[in-house]
Amino acid sequence: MNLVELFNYIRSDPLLWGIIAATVFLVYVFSIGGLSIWIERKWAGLLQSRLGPTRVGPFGILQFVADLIKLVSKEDFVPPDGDKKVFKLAPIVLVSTLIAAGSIIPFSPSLIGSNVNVGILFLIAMFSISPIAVFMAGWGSNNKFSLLGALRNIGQMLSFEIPLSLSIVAVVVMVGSLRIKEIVQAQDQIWFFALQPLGFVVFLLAIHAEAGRTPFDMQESEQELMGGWNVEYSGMRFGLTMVGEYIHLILGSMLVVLLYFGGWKSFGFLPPVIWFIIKTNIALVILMWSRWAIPRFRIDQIIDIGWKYLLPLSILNLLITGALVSMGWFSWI
Amino acid sequence: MQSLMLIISFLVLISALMVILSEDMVHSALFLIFSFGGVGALFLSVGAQFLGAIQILIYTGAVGVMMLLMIYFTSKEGKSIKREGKYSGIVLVGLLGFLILYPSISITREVGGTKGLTQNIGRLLFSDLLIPFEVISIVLLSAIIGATYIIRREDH
Repeated sequence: MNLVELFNYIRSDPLLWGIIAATVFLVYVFSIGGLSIWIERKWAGLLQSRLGPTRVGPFGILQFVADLIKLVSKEDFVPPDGDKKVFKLAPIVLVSTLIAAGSIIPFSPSLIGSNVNVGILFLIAMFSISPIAVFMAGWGSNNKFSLLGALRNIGQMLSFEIPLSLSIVAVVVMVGSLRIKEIVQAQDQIWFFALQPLGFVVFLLAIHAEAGRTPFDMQESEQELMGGWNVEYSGMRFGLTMVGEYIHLILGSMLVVLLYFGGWKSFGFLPPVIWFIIKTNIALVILMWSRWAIPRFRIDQIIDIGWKYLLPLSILNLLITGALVSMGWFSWI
Repeated sequence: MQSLMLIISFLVLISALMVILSEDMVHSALFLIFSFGGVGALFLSVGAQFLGAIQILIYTGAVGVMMLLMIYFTSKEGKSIKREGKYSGIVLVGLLGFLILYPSISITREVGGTKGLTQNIGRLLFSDLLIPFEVISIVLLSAIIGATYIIRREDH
């Protein structure tokens, strides 16, 4: 059996192909995640008049490797009074569901793990499992601060998942398909951020809150909760919770690009995969920017933003989109 | 695919058994959530992708989190499982189970293969099953209004 035959055999088996796609996504996320940690630290240093990491490698670019070695070699501490099995399982549940979500991301028209019929719905479903992992971590730690952080995280995720889904539904109504591939192909003439400005703003804020990044990071506010739901974790399990946060962020920036900025659609002279990765990283840097520019909201402000502003706005956006679609405005898509 | 289905069914059954066997309430809830997710995976493996994704989204995501939060907010000791009203509960579950199971078996027969795809489910929901669909949404609305009323009454 030569290589082409082997490839075709694997391609024909959806299970094998799905596992390989998830693995490729995992490797991509780990390398990009490490790199983006470095970019974030450098940029944070720039914004705060510091240098950031400088010692390891040129410009400190290998700092994340040093961090990783530190995490792996540290003691894996399990709280003796906590619920040990639940505590140990929580980061694994978190990361594995997010990687499963990543297996349906299309990097280019042909480089796609699983072109499932439900596409984006599967992604939202996988996102909806992560509050359970967070609760498991908070409960298993047997620690007031962890549990408080976990409950804040769940409240925030539940309240922002609705505007997030509704703004995605507006795009789906326009395209008439849940498949991410078809959503991207529909953006041949014009990228959707121009047709869906309101939905785009709602989506951006909601994905920010979903990933729990700084203006919305009530669940792990260091000054009050000492770090939130993952405070009892150490060693590689703590590393996995951090990786989970970064995968959330990377998936969020991929979704921004796929839904509103034309996915792999290019300006020529580079293959579509490269364009998709470039766009994703621009979105990632912009998402990380706000962490260092905007101070944290209070919890009541966050819940207000979710329920009083984003939810009505996303419903309004869906109503307008539905009306325009039924009047036949978007029949050319 | 057949072997995958068997493995998933086995896991679902084991975790469903563990729901009643484990003594810790949180463990029971987590096993129940796992079996919800397994049922979603079963739907996915027979090709009913829309049902699978919705099963994971609604049951594993929403209902599961609600269950965990309820355990956290209501249980004082956190561990004990109360056995009050066991027999009436069994009767009620039996009746409700029969009511729910009968249509769901016929629906499962309907949605196998390509019938479980999004377009076909949507067509079914908005043509043949339109009245049940609307009735369910009214039932949900009344539940929300009832919950709000109960919370408000305790306030004053």
